[in-house]
Amino acid sequence: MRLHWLFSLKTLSIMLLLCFLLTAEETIHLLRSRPNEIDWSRTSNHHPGCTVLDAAGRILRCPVRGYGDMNFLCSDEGCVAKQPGLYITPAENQFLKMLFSK
Amino acid sequence: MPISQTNHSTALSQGPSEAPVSLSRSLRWFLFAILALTVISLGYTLIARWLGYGLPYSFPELFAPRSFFADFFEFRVRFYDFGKPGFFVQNRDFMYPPAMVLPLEAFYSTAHPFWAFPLFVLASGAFFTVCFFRVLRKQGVRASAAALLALGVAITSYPYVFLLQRGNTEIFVWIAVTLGLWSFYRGHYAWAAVCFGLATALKLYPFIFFGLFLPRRRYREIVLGVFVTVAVTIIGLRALSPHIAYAFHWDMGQLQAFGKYYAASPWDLGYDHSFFGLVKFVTLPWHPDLTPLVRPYTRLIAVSCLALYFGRIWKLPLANQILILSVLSVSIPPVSYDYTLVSLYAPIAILCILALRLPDDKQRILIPYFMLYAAILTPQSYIIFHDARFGAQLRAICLLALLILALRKPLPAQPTCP
Repeated sequence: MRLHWLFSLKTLSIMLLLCFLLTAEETIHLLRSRPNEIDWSRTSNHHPGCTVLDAAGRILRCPVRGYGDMNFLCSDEGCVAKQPGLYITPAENQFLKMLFSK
Repeated sequence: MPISQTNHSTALSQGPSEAPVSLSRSLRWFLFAILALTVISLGYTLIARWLGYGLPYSFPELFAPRSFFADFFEFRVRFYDFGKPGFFVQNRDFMYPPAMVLPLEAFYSTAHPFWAFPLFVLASGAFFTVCFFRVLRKQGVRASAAALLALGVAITSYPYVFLLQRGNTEIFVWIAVTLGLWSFYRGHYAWAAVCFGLATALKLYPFIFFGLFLPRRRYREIVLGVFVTVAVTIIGLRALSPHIAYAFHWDMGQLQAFGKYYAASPWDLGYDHSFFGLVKFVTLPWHPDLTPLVRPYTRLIAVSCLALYFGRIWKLPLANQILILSVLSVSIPPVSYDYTLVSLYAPIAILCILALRLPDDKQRILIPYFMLYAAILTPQSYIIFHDARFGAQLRAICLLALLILALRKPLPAQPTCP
């Protein structure tokens, strides 16, 4: 099968253009959404708009502007992005403590 | 036009100053692979976003609230207290060698550090893209083809975008290592030693590049590089405090926090392409505490690298040595996040030069290298299992394959300085 056209400069230029368009769309969406602006007062006790995922009420699924929901690990002092899995590792606990202890 | 009919090999035999050439076959494969993988990655996240799948599906790189420019931003309170006792007593640890305070303070002493730093990162990316374009042009590549390749490599660079988003200090290491490797490649050994010395002072692991001098009996350059490392470290310590010994012990304590909090933890494993990350990945279902393994792993890696260096790397051509040492520098630390992969761009520029000098019938030698590079340097945002990203583990496997390939197959005809 002749696939030489795939590697022609014309095809590669079109693919580069497509990459530019997708990157531009991603960047514009990021700048418009401002996903960093979330409710920082959120804790394991106060979490409006979130769904509790575990029995202890420490793993929450909360909305992030423009990107859908994501999981957070919370204590009664604050929340951080949850690492994958619905269990809490000692490293995560340690990190959360370090972040809010001092 | 069929690849085999390009004017590449003919023009090469005439020399770079003759009629401009197009991209060689292996370079077209490389460009196709990086563009295709990036389109798939970005397209995947776009569709996931439209369908409301949420994170981590809907963002091509690492996303966590407060993560943008976090690696630079987190030092703001500390550096506002630079030169005062308050600098040493802060919430977050400063897990860098003392010399890293120098470039950071240079930015924090400006009126607008949060503009100056991102602009610096953007300018560095633009600078290296233009340099790569000029290197290709000097090899006699047609302007349109050179621009296509340079822009293609720049726009698909996942490690660079990740670095930009995090605002990580790896940018300083990248600049020093890249300039060092390029200087070495061009035969400016003293400048290379200065750059490697600087990079080592900033992040320890680039000391591995001193291994390029030994087989060429460039002992004076090694001494120069070590002198630069020590001198810049002392300047960094002196900038921290007039009591150099106190600053040194404080920094050692801060560096230990890296081992305590990061080295053994599976934190952001999907973005950690270190070989030790593969161990973490395999043991993840049992989530054990790997802290006792870190020290034996470091020793084992040190011994293995020494054996590899004197047993094999020493005898290989320069291009292989540069590639192998670059791969080792970003994969042997117990934790190595994906932005460190920017250090692989200098070896790829050398591979591109080689690709432009090889005749058509030998292009296939380079294709496996370029394919592995394509998998390493593009987002791979679609590699998700059970809501967890594992793109970095694919990268680690590709880095291992690249390492084995470079160790086993000497690259043909050592390219001379451009």
